Amino acid sequence: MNRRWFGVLLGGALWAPGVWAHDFRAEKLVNGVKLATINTYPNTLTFTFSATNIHPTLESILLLAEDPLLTACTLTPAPPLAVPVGGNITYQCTFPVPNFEACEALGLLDSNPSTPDDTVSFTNVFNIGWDSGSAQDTVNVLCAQERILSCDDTVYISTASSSSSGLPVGPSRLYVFDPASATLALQGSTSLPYNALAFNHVDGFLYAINSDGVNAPNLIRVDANGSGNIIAPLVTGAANTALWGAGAILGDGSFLGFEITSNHLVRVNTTTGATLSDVVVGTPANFRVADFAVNPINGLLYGFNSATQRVTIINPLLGTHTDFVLPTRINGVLSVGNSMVSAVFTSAGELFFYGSTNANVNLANTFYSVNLVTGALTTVSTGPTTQFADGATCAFPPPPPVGGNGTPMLTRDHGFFGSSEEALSQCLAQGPISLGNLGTVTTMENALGVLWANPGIAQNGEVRSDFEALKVRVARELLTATCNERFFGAKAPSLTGMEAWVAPSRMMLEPALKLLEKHNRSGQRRAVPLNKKIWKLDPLLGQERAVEPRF
Amino acid sequence: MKTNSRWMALSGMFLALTLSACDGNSGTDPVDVPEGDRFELRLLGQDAELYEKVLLGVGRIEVIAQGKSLPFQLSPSARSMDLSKSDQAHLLGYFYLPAEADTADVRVHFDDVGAFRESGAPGLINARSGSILFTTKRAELEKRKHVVIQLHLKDSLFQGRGSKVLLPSTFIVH
Repeated sequence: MNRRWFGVLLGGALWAPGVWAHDFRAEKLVNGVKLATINTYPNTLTFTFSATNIHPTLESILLLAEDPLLTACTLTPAPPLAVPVGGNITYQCTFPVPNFEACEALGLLDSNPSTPDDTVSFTNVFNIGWDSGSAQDTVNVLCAQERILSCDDTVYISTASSSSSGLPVGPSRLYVFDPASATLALQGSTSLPYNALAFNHVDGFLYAINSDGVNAPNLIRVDANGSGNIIAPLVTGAANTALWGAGAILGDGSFLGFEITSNHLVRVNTTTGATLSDVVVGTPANFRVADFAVNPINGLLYGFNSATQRVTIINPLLGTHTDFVLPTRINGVLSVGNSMVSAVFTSAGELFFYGSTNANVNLANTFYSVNLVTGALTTVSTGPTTQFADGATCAFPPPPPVGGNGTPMLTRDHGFFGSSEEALSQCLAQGPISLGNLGTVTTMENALGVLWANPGIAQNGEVRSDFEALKVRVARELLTATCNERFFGAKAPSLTGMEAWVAPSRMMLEPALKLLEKHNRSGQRRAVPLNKKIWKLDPLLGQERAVEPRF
Repeated sequence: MKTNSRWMALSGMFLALTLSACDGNSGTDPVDVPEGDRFELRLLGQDAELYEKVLLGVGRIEVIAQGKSLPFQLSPSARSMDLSKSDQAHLLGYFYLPAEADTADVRVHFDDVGAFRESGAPGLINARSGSILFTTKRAELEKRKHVVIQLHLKDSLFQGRGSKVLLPSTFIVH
């Protein structure tokens, strides 16, 4: 990382302050977003920098525009520049990224001494100035080597846009849904409208059907960046007007797609795109599922039949279906008029839906757990509203890795344990956590006090010395590592040389802190297993309850 | 899974040794007679919109002038600041600018993790890469003896996996 955090001054002549004391707004984007993750190579990173005159009535003079990344590009026009009311100056800089190493090399232009870390490869700040002030804006980029997706309980949700006539159109967006925070995190997008998303455990890619209700459909492969590539045209007896909505992957890696216009269920070879079978399941009047998922225990498809308001089971080879006997109840109340647009099975055999509610059957925004005996649904969390959505997760264990370091352990940081009463209480239930002179941490309050301790300032307002701040950070990372081991089974690192810390020193503590931080953050991109039932994170409550020990 | 008992024993021993050494020794680094002119550094949240609470704490602050790190007196109020309250500019602390220095480079690093509540729903903030970097000029500082960072929350918090990521959009005013 380049520590010269103030890059080359561009347009360096600073005008003498005049009467034009006006304001600009800085805005910076990378590939059109604020947070970019690069998983596939070759790739391109396009940075856009803009300075907008936000003064309500007067022209403003832009005196300065600087960014480490701009040093590689021609700045035209260069400051100083007069910008009219509402006008803006925009610069663009494109970097080809042929491989992972090239992506990381861009981080040499990083202006932020806090990065790289384990979640961000580099952060860049765009700084603009005028005669009486300045403004900054920031983006960050994660350079990753995860072209294929890890097989865990990550819930992927795709959406598509809608035409004026209500048909799906691009772009389609790929998100990760987090049940605990009930949020969708954008992974990327493609111009292809698609649905029927499914996770292939054999190759670690998502598959889906690209269809718009007008043109012939295609089987597509979707990568970790949300980019879609056509494998082959879908050969099916269904008309081009069919809307394909449900998708799943069988244990052998073949893809199943279902459309709700004429009820064709196709099975497709994901490598060649060849159709292996094409059967019709029920009729649109008695069988209508927006998504289904394969139960890894019995190999059957499960979905929600909105025609009968029941959970339904489909034999993927025969094309037969059987509804649950009992009509579905949602939180104890009979389901009426609902549709479940996403269905996901975990490898542990638990089924979840994302769909509508009795309160509003037109909004698909609620994540449910499904009782496989009764077909009853229980609300897990309410998330964002989706459109033309579909869900997928990895239901089968992947083939064993060939070479490499295998899959990283699952870990979370101190914020997670400081926010999840469930996780922290389970961690503490396994026994006291010894923190030396702090006493033994046995209560939630004391554990929260360590986890939420500010390194610089104590709870009583005392400002800590640098060395005390270091000890606080080590203490909370130690507690976090303990809970990662107890709750997730992520073996804590062996801190070589700790026996020698008779006289603790910065020289000893700093490498220990780095080791612990790296460990606690190393598995943050892996999903918390859904059977852990971490449905809520409340850091504000954790902070309120925290009782900080004396460090 | 059982905890690695050897590791736990060692970590306990380590902390017993390290933490016991700090009794009665908390407080600021000695900055008895800082040289230079004192200026305040403040942080003000703006554009909170649907955020009912945004709690961030300062991790550390660096102020550099003429290539040298300047003494900075951290304020207790920087421990945990609710930036959703746009009528309160939180005092981060004071720095002392040498008479011969015309500018100072300021770096504000937040503590790793913050918290928010938006439309009734709480959540985590990943503030690891959310440092604020800017240059301030003596001529501007001397107008009111302070520099205020306006952090525009609407344009600074973005949804990542399971948390909001802090990417500061800031205005520097004096």
